[in-house]
Amino acid sequence: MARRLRRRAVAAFDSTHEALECERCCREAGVLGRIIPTPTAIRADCGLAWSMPPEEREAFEELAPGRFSFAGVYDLEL
Amino acid sequence: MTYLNCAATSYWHPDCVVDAVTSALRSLGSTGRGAARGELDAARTVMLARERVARVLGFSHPERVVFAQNATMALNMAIAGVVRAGDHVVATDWDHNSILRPLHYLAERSSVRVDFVPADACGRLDYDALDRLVTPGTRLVACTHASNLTGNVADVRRFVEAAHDAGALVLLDASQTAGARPISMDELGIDLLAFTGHKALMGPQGTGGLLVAPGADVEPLLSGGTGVLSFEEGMPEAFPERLEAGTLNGHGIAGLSAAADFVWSEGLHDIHTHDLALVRRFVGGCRSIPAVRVYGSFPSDLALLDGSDCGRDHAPVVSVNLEGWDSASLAAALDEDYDIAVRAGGHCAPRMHRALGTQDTGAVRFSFGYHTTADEVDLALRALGELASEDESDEGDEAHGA
Repeated sequence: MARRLRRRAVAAFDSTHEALECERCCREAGVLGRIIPTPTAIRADCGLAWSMPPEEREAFEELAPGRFSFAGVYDLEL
Repeated sequence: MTYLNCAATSYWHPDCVVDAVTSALRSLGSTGRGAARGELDAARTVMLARERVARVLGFSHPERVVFAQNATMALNMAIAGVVRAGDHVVATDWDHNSILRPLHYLAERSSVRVDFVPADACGRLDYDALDRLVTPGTRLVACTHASNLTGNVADVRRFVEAAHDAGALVLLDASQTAGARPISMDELGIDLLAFTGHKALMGPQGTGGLLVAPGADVEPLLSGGTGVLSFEEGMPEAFPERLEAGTLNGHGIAGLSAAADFVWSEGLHDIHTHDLALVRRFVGGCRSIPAVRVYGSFPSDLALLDGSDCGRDHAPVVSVNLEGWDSASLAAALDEDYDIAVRAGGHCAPRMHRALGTQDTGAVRFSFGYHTTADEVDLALRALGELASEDESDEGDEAHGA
């Protein structure tokens, strides 16, 4: 049976530390999501990314400044 | 055993450190090498460790706490990462071989010029010489926070001022001070700080690191896997990965994290106060034994040794020699007859021994820590007194290896 794909907003990072800082900030702020391996659709990498429901993207982007940095947010079906 | 070699390693570790290492061995994966539970737990553990180390060292950028195997590796990372061919570096007579040897290497291979701030026969640094030697064009000023031989503490502010006035970076070797006293890297304006995890911090051996202030440009000493940006040919720009190639010592870092939290909870000021009381007790006792020669600079009134003035401040390190005794023989006698562990010899501090005039004799270093008690200091003093008497009673006999 094929895995059902869902639309996600996925943030990529240049550093494991920033990814985990993002995770902590999002958990504290109630922004839903989880850490995943960086999807190859973003870049061939072995780093970490933050996968969230698309409706969380705005809260995520408002939360980030001064707390953590990210390399970009991508709309994907995962 | 009475362990008075804490300047070498902590030997005693808080239970929380042992428990943290054990738990990590049972549960952690590899930091930055995947997003499964074990890997994320490892990464979260390491991140917390960076934060706790940064807190102990007064540094507001935990993402720029770079882990290394020890202070030696951290110092090599800093020196090799900053100094370029033909550069000028200022170091001091207090420095350990972990600074001296990388600089000698660069002087021989890359025409790097190195000047040393001299110490006098009491081990006091010549700060006027520091001001003369650091000039515009100097790339790096290396400063040992506390001598691993005399325990005297450097005036870091003077080093920072001299370096920054000349446009140079300051590298502080905090091997003998990290975890033993309050340090504020931010407030002091230190650019690079190297620490070890297994001395006053009481963490596991194989841990240490380099703190890199924003704006300090450090090229990677090692290149390799970082877990991010795998298809880039060079090391990532972002910290801490920029300087962390290869799998981290996650299990050791878990222990270091617990250790950093422990010393923070105990209070760095209180630990410093405890250490100074032991130094006063030991030096005061040594002064009552005429055959003991204490090296380094101490106030005649030991009550003044209260940490309030860096000119009189001290790490819990005191080196001595005993008349009639070779330093190695004295250390052996302390071990065999009293079960007291100390360190004899050159202490990887050749320039300091030359300054003190002990390059041929070495010295016996007594060093204390959080777990050292006044009773243990008294035992060491009793042993020195008895061994001094033993020499006196052996009149006409061959002295003890001297």
